[in-house]
Amino acid sequence: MAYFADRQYFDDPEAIKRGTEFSEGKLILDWYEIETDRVRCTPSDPRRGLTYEDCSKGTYSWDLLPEFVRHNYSMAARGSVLVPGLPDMGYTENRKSDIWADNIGELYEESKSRRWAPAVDVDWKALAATDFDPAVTASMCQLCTTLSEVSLVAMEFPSRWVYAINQEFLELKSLLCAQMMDQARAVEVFRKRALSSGGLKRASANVQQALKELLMADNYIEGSIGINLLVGSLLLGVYRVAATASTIDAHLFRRCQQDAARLVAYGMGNLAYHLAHREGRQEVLNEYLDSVEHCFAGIAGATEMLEPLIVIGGGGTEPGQVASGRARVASIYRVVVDEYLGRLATAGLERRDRSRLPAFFAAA
Amino acid sequence: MKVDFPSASFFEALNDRMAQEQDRFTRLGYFDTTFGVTVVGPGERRRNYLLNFEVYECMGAREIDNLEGEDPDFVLEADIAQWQDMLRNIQSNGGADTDHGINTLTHFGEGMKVIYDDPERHDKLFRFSESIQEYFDLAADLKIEYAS
Repeated sequence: MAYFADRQYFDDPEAIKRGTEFSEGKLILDWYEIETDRVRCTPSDPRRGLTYEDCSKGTYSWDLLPEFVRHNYSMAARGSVLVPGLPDMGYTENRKSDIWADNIGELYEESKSRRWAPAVDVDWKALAATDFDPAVTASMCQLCTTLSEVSLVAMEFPSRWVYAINQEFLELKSLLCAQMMDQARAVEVFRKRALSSGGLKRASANVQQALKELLMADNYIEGSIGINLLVGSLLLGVYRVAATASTIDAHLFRRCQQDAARLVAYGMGNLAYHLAHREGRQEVLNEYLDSVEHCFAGIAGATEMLEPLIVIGGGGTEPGQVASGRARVASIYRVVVDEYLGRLATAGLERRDRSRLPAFFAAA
Repeated sequence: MKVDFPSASFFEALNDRMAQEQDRFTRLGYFDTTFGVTVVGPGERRRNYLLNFEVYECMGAREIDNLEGEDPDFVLEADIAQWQDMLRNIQSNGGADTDHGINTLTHFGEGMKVIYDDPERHDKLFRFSESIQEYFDLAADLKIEYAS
């Protein structure tokens, strides 16, 4: 499928005429006096520089975004004057309450500010010199193989939707691109962590099946809860255990934790905004989570995720170490479930008496 | 110069170190959270500190009677022996080892509690986890006088 512009510019008489006039120094300048909101945005805090929030002024403000975007399906910058002939980009996400969150601007600026580079921000030389138990080394390789799969899907979720979102929501589109970059970095660092210590291990069918179910959600808000809140909450717990492997890993996984926490923060903001502006959606979303929360168990309980976490958490495979690791992972899984349900409740979706997750992990 | 732990001057000394290490914290990125530190001493006597971070710096650290009225994002609470153990470890290693990092102390075992009301604001512990750890690691070269 291809799209063809509404004219062929090489042969367009008007374009040829204008080209001739420009070459003679004749400017039209009909854009010069266009009536748009005149603003001079300045940094509200010089330490941060000029942020999106500083630019959310007057008719350029995100506060003026309507619930239903009906006036612009083109790539025109929000606040610019729309003219005839703008192409319809076919955006399908045009309803603010499906996609918006009040913390988008903050998270986007934070994401850029807290970016890092695995190539140089991880002390690979010191890592190579660290004396790990061989079982811990192997477990880290397996865990990073699995986390690569999870991060890839956390990268693919925003990429699946970003084009479909109306350009009027430009700050959100920017945030989703930042999330892609954050998760691309996660894919990178897990690959490097494994390949610096022996190489990758085994792919996980259970993890991938569960992730695919979440990734393929029918609509954005359900996918956002599934990936940003359900998977994001799990990642925050997994990283806590992985960070105990060594001081280098502590730095590495704290950085990953920061990136995952922004996924979670957006997911919470998205859900809260959705529920605040849409009556009767609690039950619909509760039913959705009834059907997909098993994916959390599928990922967390997959051999390729659970066993390396236990070995890392306990420091090895001796019986005492395994017992200690099991206790540590079971404890963190219970905390993660509690935190996840607490986040949902704070956003307006109470399901602590409904979710099967607490009972499932209480038995672990 | 020696600083007492716990005391406001201890955190002020960390803040001075943070200012000296501005490049390091700028590289880590925005650090926007206000959190509490509670040191539980003998007889359950509590000493509370409120730390207010903004952009790349700590805007203030003060001792207060009660954190509840201050509405921090979260509070890190441990008994004085735990805090001292953590700080001694930081001083021995130039930074916390894995057993003495905030991550391990808060999530595994009973060492340190994270107290919060709002999950969204509690998540700032994760959003800024590297900065928070590096802040405490600044104690590595302080001369600390520990309360007995």
